Amino acid sequence: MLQYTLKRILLAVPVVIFISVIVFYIIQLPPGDYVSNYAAEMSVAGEVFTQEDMAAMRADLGLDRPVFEQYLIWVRDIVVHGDFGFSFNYNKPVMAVIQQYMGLTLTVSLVTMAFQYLVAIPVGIYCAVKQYSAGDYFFSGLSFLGMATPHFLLAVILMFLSYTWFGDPLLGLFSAEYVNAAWSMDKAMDLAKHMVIPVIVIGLSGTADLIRVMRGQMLDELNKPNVVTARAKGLSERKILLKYPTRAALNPIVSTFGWSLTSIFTGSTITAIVLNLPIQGPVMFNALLGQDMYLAGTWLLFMALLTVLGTLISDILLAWLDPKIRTEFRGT
Amino acid sequence: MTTQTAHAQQPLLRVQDLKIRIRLDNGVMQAVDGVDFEIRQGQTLGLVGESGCGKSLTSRALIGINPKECETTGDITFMSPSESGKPVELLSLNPNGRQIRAIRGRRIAMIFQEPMTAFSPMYTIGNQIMEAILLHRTKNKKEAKKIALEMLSKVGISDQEKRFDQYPHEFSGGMRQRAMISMALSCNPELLIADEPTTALDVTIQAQVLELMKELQQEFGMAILLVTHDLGIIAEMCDEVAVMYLGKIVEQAPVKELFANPKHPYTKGLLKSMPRLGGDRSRRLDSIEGSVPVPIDMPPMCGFYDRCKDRIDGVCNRMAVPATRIADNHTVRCFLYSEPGEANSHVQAHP
Repeated sequence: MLQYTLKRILLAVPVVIFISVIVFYIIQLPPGDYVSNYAAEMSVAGEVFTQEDMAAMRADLGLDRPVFEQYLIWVRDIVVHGDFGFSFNYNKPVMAVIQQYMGLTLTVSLVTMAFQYLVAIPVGIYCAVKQYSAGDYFFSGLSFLGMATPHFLLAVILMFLSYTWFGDPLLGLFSAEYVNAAWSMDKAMDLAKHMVIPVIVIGLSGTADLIRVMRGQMLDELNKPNVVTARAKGLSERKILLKYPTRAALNPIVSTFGWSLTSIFTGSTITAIVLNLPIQGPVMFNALLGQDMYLAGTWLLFMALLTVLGTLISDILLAWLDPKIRTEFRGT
Repeated sequence: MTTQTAHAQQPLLRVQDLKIRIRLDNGVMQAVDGVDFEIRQGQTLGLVGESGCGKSLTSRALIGINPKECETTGDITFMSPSESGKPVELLSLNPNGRQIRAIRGRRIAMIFQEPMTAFSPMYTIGNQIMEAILLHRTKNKKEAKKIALEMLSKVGISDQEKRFDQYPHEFSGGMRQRAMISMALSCNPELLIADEPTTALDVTIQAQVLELMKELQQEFGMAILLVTHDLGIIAEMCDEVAVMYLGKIVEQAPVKELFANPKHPYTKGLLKSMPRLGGDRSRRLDSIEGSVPVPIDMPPMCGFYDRCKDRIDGVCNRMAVPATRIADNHTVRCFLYSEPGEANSHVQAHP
């Protein structure tokens, strides 16, 4: 098992290097660069920005060098100094920008995930056990609706409802008076209140999806002969349900857990923009838009790394959950 | 056949007029239609018939583990010698209730056709065997493990300590069925229901498993209800045979009597379709022409009518066939052996 894990980690190295090359290449693809964008903005604002100014700025930022050289410098700094470059937009090191948003991003993502699993698993089990009952139809209808509704639309609707009922659209994650306040009980409560809408909006389609998967898995498992065997032993229905079908149905659910890693760290983008949430998604979006290349590059690289890591975590979870795969490891 | 002492002749389980209906989109299927039989202590009753005749449903109805779509009526009386001789009416019990669950696995145990899927792949064999023991015999895990290991050695599994902690996929098919038998017998049941216990196994393993079941029957003195489609297994294992066709028992007799003197055209057909040692190898085996009808909205008639060589037009397709006792232990459901007149009056009551 340990050997397998090490092998997988080593294999991930070339994958990540390859991805970093592609990432850097893609960022360079759109016409223009940060400097030309900046110049365009300046001229809109009425300032005069000459060719010489642009050239000076490019030289200053290192953008006048060939692309592969820029790439090598970027990679060298990451490996040697742990320096991911400089964000032009924020005028700060990339890591500082990411750190600034990480805490709240993780909070929103983890709460959303917990919400998804805590709601979807019991509801999925209920729908399977009571297949074709009124409750099953209700939750199934709701989950189809949840899958089909665009996030941003739901976000706007919920903000509107919140505004009409409570007089506050609950925009952002904090009320104005707490944004720059130190952490306190009141601030935490304010955060909790503001998180209700984002968690529902971001978590809805995932929850809907998980309900469908869980229900389908449970229906498969409930009809397996091992359930009949357990019944013939004289076990109670509740014990049978929890020990056999539920345990088996959890495998595919838990094994996809690792794939959520990317979304945990990046948060959602469009919903976050609509709801004005101070999390990573919009930061990333603006970086791409403004050709803030090191920030965008670091982000894409980070996501790629999380995907690779997430797949590894999924595989390890599956091996840990499924006795069949587990013995194969023991055997080697 | 097993030697029977006087006490072994006591009835253990009596089934009367068992009917199972299943509601389907296109009507109500009468899957089991008035089955009667009796199993005596220590005896083996074979229930034989082709796929879909209702034999598995019948056997599962005994402990109430059919899916809830199955509407079951009739009487299933269980006369356990250990329960102060008080008969229990199994069908009247709540199918998820405490009372029936105390009988399931404890007094009446069951083994299934597919030993691969009958075990859960998620838990060790030991865990799954111990489950029944912990439920019915002892709350002490150590003791339960000891019983489970003993049972594993009884069914001929060597290296039990290691096997105990293995998962079903690490067992071969024959091993799994042995483990299944040890699980079923771990609580000393009075009746073992074996639903096609060897169908999924190789012929050589089949013989071993059947031999094992016979040995354990001698040792524990339990009765067996053996459900199968294989007449060879019936001949080897059973004291008495009930032949099922389309939800009804069409013929029932002691095993020797049935093989020597089959009466029902269906039984005769089944016996003719069996290969025989020393038979003429160039001859094709007989088969029964046609296929089984689906028992949805069937008029009162003999279910075998369409396929029967000896059918009597205007009789067999006009009324339900009553069971006729033609010898002491031999009953048959066929108009060739009964007066249609008796049944006629019976049918006229429901035009």
